[in-house]
Amino acid sequence: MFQGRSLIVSIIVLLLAAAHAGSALAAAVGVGARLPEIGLVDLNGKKISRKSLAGKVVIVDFWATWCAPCKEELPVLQRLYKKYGKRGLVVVGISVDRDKANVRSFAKKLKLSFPIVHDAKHVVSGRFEPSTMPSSYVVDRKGVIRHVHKGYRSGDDKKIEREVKALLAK
Amino acid sequence: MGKVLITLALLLGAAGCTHVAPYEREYLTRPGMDNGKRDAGFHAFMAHIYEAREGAGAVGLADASGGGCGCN
Repeated sequence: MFQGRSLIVSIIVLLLAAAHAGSALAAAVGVGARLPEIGLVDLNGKKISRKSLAGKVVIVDFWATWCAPCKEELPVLQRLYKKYGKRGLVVVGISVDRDKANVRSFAKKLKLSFPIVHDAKHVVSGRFEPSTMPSSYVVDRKGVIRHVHKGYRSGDDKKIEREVKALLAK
Repeated sequence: MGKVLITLALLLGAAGCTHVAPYEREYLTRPGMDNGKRDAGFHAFMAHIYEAREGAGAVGLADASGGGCGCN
């Protein structure tokens, strides 16, 4: 009888532990949410915040040097930044790498000119909780997330460009 | 007693489980973390030695044939 009771107690504890593990996963930021604060300086020492991005159409992109699809996506974002920057598009790349030197050399290699924030301690990542790498958030001029792209596949560039053009026209 | 031990083991196992966020997987993406590629560096090194010493590539690893000169 004692063994049976302890077994039941253990199973309950297990279920509770499993439930706790599930709840530990913070809710990811999605469409319709306000852009979470970034509040870090970019590689050039300029602070990137909601205030500095106000009134702009923004693409916030989470990437890493160890993420293969990111290597395909980043040149696309660079192209969009060059093409639509004057009309009010800002691209903010948030690198989740540990090593800042890797981030710098990678950005230099890909000739990325848009602001890049090094989120080594994953403070900003913790606010967005991107579910895949890369993840990009297309934000309207009012600071509301309008589109979320999980991962990157060929053809996504046209989709992102359409979204950016539509938001810039508003 | 056996059931208690099993449940204790299960509990301990459950305590070891954790969720690794996608942005925290830098170390998990290293080749050494992949069972299939764990020895890739060693095999590449051995292939290089075979190429340089024997003038023959290790099967499935080296594409270019070496001169057997022992250089490099």
